[in-house]
Amino acid sequence: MNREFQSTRRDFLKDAVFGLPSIAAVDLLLRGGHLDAATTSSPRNRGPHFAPKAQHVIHIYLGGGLSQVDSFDFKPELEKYHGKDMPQSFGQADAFFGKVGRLHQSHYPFKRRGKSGLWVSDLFPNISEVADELTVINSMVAETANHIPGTFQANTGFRQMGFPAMGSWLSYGLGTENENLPGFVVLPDARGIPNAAGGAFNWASGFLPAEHQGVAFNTRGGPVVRDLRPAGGASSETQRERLDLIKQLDAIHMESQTQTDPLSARVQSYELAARMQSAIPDATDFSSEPAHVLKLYGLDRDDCRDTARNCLIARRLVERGVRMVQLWTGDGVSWDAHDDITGKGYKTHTGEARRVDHPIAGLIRDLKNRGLLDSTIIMITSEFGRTPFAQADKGKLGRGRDHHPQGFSNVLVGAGLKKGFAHGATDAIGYASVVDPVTVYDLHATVLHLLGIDHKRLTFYHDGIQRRLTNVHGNVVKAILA
Amino acid sequence: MPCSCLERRSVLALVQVLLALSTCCPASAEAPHAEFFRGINLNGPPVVIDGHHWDGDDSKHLETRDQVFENQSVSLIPTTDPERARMIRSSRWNSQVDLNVINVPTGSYSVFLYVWEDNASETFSISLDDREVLHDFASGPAGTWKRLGPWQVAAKSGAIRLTTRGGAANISGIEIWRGDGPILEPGIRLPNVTRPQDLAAAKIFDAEIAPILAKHCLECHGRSVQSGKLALGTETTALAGGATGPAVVPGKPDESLLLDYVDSGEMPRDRPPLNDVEKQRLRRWIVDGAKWGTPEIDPFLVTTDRRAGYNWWSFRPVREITPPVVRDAKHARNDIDRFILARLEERGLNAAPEADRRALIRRLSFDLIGLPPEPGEVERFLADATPDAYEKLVDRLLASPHYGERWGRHWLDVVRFGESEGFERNHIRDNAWRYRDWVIQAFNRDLPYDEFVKQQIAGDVLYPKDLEALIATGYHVCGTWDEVAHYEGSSEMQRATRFDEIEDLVATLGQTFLGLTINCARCHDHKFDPISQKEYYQIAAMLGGVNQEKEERSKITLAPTAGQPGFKGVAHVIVPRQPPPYAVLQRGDYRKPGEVVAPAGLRALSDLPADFGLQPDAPEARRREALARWLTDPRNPLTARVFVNRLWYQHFGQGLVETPSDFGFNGSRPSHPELLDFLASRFMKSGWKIKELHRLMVTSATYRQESRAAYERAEKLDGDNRLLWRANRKRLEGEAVRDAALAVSGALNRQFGGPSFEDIRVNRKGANSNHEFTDPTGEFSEAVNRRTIYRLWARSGGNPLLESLDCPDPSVMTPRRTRTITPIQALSLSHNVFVENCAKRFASRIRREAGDDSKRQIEHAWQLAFARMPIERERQAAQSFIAKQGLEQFCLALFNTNEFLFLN
Repeated sequence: MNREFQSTRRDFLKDAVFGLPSIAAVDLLLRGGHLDAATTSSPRNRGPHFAPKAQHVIHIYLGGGLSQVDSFDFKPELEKYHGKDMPQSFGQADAFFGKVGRLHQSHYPFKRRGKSGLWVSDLFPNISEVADELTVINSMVAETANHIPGTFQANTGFRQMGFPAMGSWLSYGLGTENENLPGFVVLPDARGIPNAAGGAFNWASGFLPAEHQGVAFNTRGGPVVRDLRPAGGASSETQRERLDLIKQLDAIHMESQTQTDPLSARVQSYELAARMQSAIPDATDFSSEPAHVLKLYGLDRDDCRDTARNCLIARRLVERGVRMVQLWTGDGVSWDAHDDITGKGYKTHTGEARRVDHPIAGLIRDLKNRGLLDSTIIMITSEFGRTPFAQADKGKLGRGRDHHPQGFSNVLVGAGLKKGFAHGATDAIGYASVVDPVTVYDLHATVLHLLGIDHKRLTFYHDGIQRRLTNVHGNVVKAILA
Repeated sequence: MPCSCLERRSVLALVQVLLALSTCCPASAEAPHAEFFRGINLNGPPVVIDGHHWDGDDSKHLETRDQVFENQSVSLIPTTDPERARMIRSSRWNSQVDLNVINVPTGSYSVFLYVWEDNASETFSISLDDREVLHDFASGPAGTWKRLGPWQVAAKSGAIRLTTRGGAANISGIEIWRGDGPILEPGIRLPNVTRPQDLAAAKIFDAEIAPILAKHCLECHGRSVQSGKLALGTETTALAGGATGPAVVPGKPDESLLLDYVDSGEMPRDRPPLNDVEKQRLRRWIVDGAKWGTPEIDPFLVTTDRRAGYNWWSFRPVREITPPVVRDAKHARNDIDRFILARLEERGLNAAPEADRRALIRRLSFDLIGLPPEPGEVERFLADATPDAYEKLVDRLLASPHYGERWGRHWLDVVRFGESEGFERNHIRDNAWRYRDWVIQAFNRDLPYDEFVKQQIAGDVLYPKDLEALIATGYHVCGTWDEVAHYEGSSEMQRATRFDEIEDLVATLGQTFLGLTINCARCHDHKFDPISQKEYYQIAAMLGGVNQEKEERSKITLAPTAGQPGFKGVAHVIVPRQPPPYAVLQRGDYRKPGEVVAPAGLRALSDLPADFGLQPDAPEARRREALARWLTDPRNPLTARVFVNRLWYQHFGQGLVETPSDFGFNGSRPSHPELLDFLASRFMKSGWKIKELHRLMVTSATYRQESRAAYERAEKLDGDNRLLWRANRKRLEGEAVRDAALAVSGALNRQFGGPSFEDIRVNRKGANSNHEFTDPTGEFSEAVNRRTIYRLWARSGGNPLLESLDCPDPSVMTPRRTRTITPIQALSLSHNVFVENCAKRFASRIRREAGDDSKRQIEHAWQLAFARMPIERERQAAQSFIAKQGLEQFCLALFNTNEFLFLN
């Protein structure tokens, strides 16, 4: 189909764009149009469908694959097996790159943390201190051991390219609370856009209207959003009048046209752009933040300032009503520690954890202090885990681990969840998920549920199918709900 | 141990002779195969099911008054492919269904019926021509569907009547085969028979049994996966059975577990069951002694609900098709229109009228040369009263040197042409532009597409004295290359990287020329298309001599010859090396080499031989030469189809196949399969002439339709405009927006070719550090105000303005651009220094050419930007704005209007 522009009820819209000042109203009408374009079922495909527990999501994506047995999934048995081949009783050892080395115990000591006694390793010393806020799922399973399809699935529910991101679904389903900011903001790592994991495809709106796609901020220094201000410095009055002229000319142009959705969408995009001009600098300006808050996030530390900055921006955006903020680490695969879990820098866990541990803990504390943890879900996820055996030749031990979708850990924090709680389990060595396995679909369904959305009812008609984030799968993980 | 190619071929020849003899032999008991006759989707559009083209509910062969029902939200049991699922979930229902399939010539037929249940089970009986064929059928729980039949019917009255009685029956589709022989999917080639002494039985096996096993069983019980330790692909393993016992016991159906599992419906697991005929055939085969045919069943023999087989639509030979007869013959300007109209008429829709001339010249101009028409050109076209004014305009634009700049860019997108290495170092390739210029020139001089392909693949081999043909091989070396891995990595890493590069080369080759993701078969047989892992390595071996190395052909010296000037210089082109023999790598791991393979093609491509008679150590040059010929062989069913579709996609804003680089199972199905074949065969027959193909497309009435047509019925039936009942509105690509802004403002430097200009600051450090691309330079000068195709197209070196308009990074192949509308784009177009500069230049051009009179200025601006005069309201709005904010701001506003950015 002509994916770029959806066909909707254009006449309705034409009036809407020029008759109503509120972009939210137009937005609503736009969706109404889409709704009616659907030929079957689902009289009500937007949310919320019931009282939500949370309003916002901050998704911190540890792309590349966080090792479960080195972080949240404590396996004392693995110490026993350390240096041995994986026994057949745990199944046929399978590795993405085919090198099945000997089993390797956790590279970091585990301890019980907080009042809850949740197990967290020394990989995350700061996050450990807020363990009582965490909801750990130790029984995640993924469908692929390949980064890009896995990352696409973690973000869009589908392994293939071209489906709407979860943030786009939320923007579509719940709208934005702040007309002056995008509903879905993406904060790439200061090291760059996560191109190794598929880049902007991970926050594209797919077949949903383009307004729902994630807006990636520039986090590498310089203007947060390029061209936010006129290069030649035109006054705001000039800008306003120019915008009015454009609107007038577009309105006249549209009188004689059909297929007006993209035309109306462009008109809207100018309105939003104008409001973003003041709202974005405000959201990313830390001058009003007291020193202790900056410190809480680790903005005073050289080794984690980048992530700290993104975490603080995330809080400020959520505070301002942005529906979903997504933080990326590295190039999208920076946790991919094939060679050495404990090495330094890129593609090691020690190096990557140093960049995120303090800022994430700071974010959790700050949200809690402000009461925002009662209306926000933080997701800390990766596309798969890592093998409990080393990535090394048969019979050898090594310091790296391979991709591992059969069992791994994701973490949720926030509203409506059991806190200081671990759900599900892998087998004794952290290989396969054996107790209450949770799929990506289940995780998405659960987060949607917390936001008041029945994942089966948030749908969009495309190419003959009522599409949804969870495809035809997904069960809410009730056991982790408070 | 694989037999040598030569032997295999002679065996094949022998078998073919024997087969031919046997079919001539009157003693042969073999009935001819049944042929697919007709399928009708009883409530919905025409569809393709199992590779067969079905009519829609408006078929002229259908008479029905039953009620329609659709609920696409029900989950089907078992699941099936999307197109079939869509067909099933929209149906006709009645407690007494009564429908007629008419126009059925006298003869014997087999009928299948798709039924389904959307809620509670219903019980009903089914009759064909008043003969009950199924009594008290229970439709099962919600979501259940069945392909019932086949039932034999002897049609005498010119129709087949279907009736039901009892509960409410949901009937989704009817599928009819002619003849009473075995039902065989078309396009299946009979595999080799190796036992001439037992020819009849072997032939039955190959024709009837092997396809059943391939379709239903081999995915889980084949060579690569052996669930329950059972492999049904060879006689030995089938007789050996699996974990639960013997699968096949010759002559003893009751002891053959295969029949147990299949009859009880336990197998195939999670997918549609075998139909009754298939079950009966398996039983009869076992009763008759389970005689085997082919040594090993090729698992790709047939298309299943999960994967494509050799009979997949895109692998079948390109058909020569006569354009259909249409009612509204007057509307048809050429054969394209006949195909389009026929489908519209089938659905009771009509095509839109022709767009007005101003819209047409703007559309054509951007489409063919990527630039807006000059006001003078517009006036000339409007004033041209000759009947072929439009055709003359088309010819003029196709002859413009700007044509190659426009269409070359589309090609560069497909082959992911980049002028830096990518990865960490990302060093700039200073001489990569020569390939870019070659592509532009190739389009401009209308190089036939087969030559275009051949020269890129093997120009250096085929035309060793021809500089242009050498430069064409820049195709092979325009992708990414990991310098760090090669120069600094361990030898292990170098090898690993080399195999990744090969995968990238195979991916680009397969998707660009064949529309196939051959690269997916690196670690295992392709999951969706009939490409084995071995074939991946055959193709890899074809390309094994291609080196992406930094090394360039420097100081190329060619003496001037009769036809060509001499040349001395540097070019970034192929520097081939003799590759080592290639072996199949287990799971794609270079440390686990298996069987050595010879360079060869893919078996799936219809009747085109895949064996080039090359040995594993064949000379490098012979490999690419063979590859070039294989790709451009007229029997290759994909090359022409894929290219014709690329052209169509650009002209019409959507493809006949919506996934221009994937014609496999995961790709989309063609909206107009006959038209696609018509164009492909005509393209090849006319000598692969690209400009002629453009001409055919853009002079069609279909292309010339207006975009603003509004037909309620068409919107409802075909909101996506797949049937092309009007023109699609298109947003200009980033390059066209930038080029148009430059052209309109009079700042465009039309200089052709040569080294790229830089619009991004480049940090060129030493040889051992990275090249970094930072901020836009903001420069606005003759040197950089060239067409966008001439900018330095470096990886991660995107220009933010162009990126906001969806210009892709050349790290990935981009067969189709996304076209988004975002606030970031609005900000870029309003505030970017480039657009502001264009606005300034535009304003001074207007002052210069129209003088000080504001009315004249506005009119001139309108003509330049929109190829028309303003209407009164527009003039007033402009005038009052200019009075307050000045001409420059006004010009900036024009660049931001929808009319500037969209083509009607």
